[in-house]
Amino acid sequence: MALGGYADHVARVDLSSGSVAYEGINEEDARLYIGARGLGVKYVYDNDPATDPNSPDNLLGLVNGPLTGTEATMSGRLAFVTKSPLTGTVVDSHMGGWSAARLRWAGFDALLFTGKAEAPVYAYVEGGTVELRPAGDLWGKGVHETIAILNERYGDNLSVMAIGQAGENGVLFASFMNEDDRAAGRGGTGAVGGMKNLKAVVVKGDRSTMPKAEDRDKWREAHRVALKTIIDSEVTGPKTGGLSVYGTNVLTNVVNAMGGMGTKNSQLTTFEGAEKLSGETVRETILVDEPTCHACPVACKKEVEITEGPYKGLRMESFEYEPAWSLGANCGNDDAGVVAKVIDQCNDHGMDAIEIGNVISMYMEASEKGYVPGPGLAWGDGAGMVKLAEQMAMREGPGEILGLGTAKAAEAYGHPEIAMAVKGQAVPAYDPRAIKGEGIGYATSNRGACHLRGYTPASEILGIPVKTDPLAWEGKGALLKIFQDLHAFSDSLDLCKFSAFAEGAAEYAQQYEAIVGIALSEEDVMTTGERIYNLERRFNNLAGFDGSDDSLPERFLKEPGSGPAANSVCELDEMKAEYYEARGWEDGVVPDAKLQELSIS
Amino acid sequence: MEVRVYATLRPIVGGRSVSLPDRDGATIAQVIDDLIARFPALRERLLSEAGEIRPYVAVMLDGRDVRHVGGLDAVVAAGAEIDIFPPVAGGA
Repeated sequence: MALGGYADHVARVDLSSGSVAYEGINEEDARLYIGARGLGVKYVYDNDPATDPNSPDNLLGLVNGPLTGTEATMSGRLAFVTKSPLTGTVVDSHMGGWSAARLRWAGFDALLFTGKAEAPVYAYVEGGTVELRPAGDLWGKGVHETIAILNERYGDNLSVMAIGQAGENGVLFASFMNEDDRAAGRGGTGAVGGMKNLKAVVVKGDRSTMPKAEDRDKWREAHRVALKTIIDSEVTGPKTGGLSVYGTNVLTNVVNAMGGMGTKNSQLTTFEGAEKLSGETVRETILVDEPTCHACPVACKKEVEITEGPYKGLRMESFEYEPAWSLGANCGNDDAGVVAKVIDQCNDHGMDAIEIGNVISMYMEASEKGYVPGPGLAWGDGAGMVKLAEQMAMREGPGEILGLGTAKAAEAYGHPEIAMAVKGQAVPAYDPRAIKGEGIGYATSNRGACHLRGYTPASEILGIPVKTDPLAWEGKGALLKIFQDLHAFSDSLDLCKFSAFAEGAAEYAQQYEAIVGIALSEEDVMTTGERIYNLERRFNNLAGFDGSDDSLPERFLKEPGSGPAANSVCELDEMKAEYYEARGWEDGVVPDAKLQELSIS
Repeated sequence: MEVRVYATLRPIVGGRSVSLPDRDGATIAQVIDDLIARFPALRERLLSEAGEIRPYVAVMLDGRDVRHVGGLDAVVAAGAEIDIFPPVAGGA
C-alpha cells in the first residue's frame, strides 16, 4: 500500500472455526475513513447493518488509527467497533493506556472478530500473528484477576483487554477493560465479547517496533507544533492546566455552579454535595498518584486511595468526572468512597460506569414512586448501590432486569419515562436544560446519548473555539455539526479527545500528512469527519433509525431544572431543525445525494 | 460578600472562597478589583492586559458567565453568588 503510517496488516478471526486470516488495509477505505473509528465503522457497515447484534454474525473490531502508537502526542488510543446490543446502532468505544500502542507495535492495524467460539478463548497477539488459546480457567473471573494471571503467564510488555463477569452474563452495558482501570466503556462492547466467548485480547509488543514517519523533518515540525499547543494550553498544560492538575473531575464544580448537574435522576440540576466529590477535594484528600497513557504529558488520570469508611484501603485510578456524577449527584450520593467502590466494581466486572449510575438512579426513582417490587433503594444508599452493582454484574435479584440497561429496565417496570436515555443508552453528566448544545448532541449522537460525539461544552463552558451561551439554543445545531465532524476525524487518527482543547484541524492535518504522506487542508479534515459521521448515520438508517429516534427524555423538554436552570427546558425541536439543515439530512435520514457528495457507498 | 474560587485559583487565595466587604450595587469589575487588591497574583490569571476577562476564564454571577449577562458592567445584587473558575475542561 502506498500510504505511510499503517502496518497494512489486519487479522480476521473466525471464532466459530478458529481460523485466522490476514489481509492488508483497503487503500481507498483508508483514504476515505482514515482508521480507528472511521475505518472501524466501515468494517461494521460492510458486515451488514441489519445484523442481529446478539448473533455470532456481529463483527467486533479493535481498530487502530494511522497515528496510534506513534510518537504523536496523545496517540495511545484504539476503537472497539461493533453493532451495539444496548442501542442497536453502530458503536465505537475508545480506550487509552498502552493496549492500542502495543497492538500497533505487534504489527496490526486491526483485529476483526466474527463468529462464536465453542468454548471460552482469548486471542494472543504477538509479532504479527494471532492465536486463539483456551480461556476456560479465566471464565468467571473478574478483569483484575484475569489480567494478573495473564501478566504472570506472559511477563513484561503486555497489555490485556478483557471482559469481566458482566460481559459473560450478558449485561448489555458491559465493557471491555484495559490495564485494570481503563474502559471501552460505552455501547456494550463487553456483551459482544461475552456472546462470542471471547474473554480477552492479550497483546505483547514493545516500543522497539514503534512506527516512525519516513520524512523525519516534516514529522518533527508537525509533532513540535502539536506538542507546543498542548503544553501552552491553560487546560492541558502539564502540571499547570486544570485538566492536568485535577483530571476530568475538575468539571464537577463548574457544571454544578451553572445548574447543569443532573441530580436524583435529573429531577434537579444542582447538587449540594458536589464539592465533596469534586476534583479539587479529591486532590486535597485522597489523591495518591497521577498515571498517564502512551505519549501523553497531560496525565489526567487521578489515582486515589480511600482513607476512611467501609472502603478504606481501596486504591483505583479512574475517579473521573462522568462516574463522579453518575454515581454521585445523580444518585443523591456525596460519599467519595462509595463512588470509588462502584467504579472499581465496574472496572473489575467490566461495566460502563456512566450507564450503571443511571440504572441505579432510575431504580431509586422507581423505588420512591413504588414502581418496583419490595423496598427498592433509597437516594444516597451507598451500601445498597454497591450491592446492586454486584447483582447487576451477576444478573441476580433486581440485577437480572437492571442488567438490560436504563431504558430497557425502565420499560420492563412499565415506566419508560424515568429512563434518562437516548436510543437505549443513558445520558452523561451535562444536563441539557443548562447546556443546550448537549441536548441536541445527545439526541443526534449516532451511538445513543453521548457527550463525546460533539463536545459543545468546550464552547459553552470554556469558549473553544468561541464562547457561546449555554442557555441559548440558537446556533447550537450548526455548532454541534462542527464538533461532531472534527471529533470524528481525531477519533479516526486516533488521538485522545482531549487534544481538541488545544489542537484543531490544522494540527491534525499536519500530523496526518507527516505520517501518512497525504496533504490535507483543514477543509479536508472537516469533510472527512463529515463523511465518517454520515457513514455512521447511514448504518443506523439501514438498521431502522430515523429522526423519531433523535429524541430526548420528556423530563428535559418539559420539566425545568433547578438553580441557574430553574426556568429552563431544552428546546430540542428548534435545534433539530437547525441541525438537520446544517447536515443536509431529511428527518434524520441521509439522502442519496449526500451519500454521493461524500463518496459513501 | 463571599466570592468562591476553584481549581488552580485556590492555592493563590489559600482557600475555597474570599470574603470581601459588601458593596451594594457594585459591578463585577469592582468586585474583581477588590479581589485583586487582596491577591495581586490573581490579576494575570483573570484579566488581560486590556483589563478584560481572559479567554476561557469563567466569572459567574448567579450561575451565569458574566459574558452573557452584562460582562464586567454586570451589577451584583445583594445576596448574589459569584464563582470564578480558571480554564477548566474534561469529558471522560
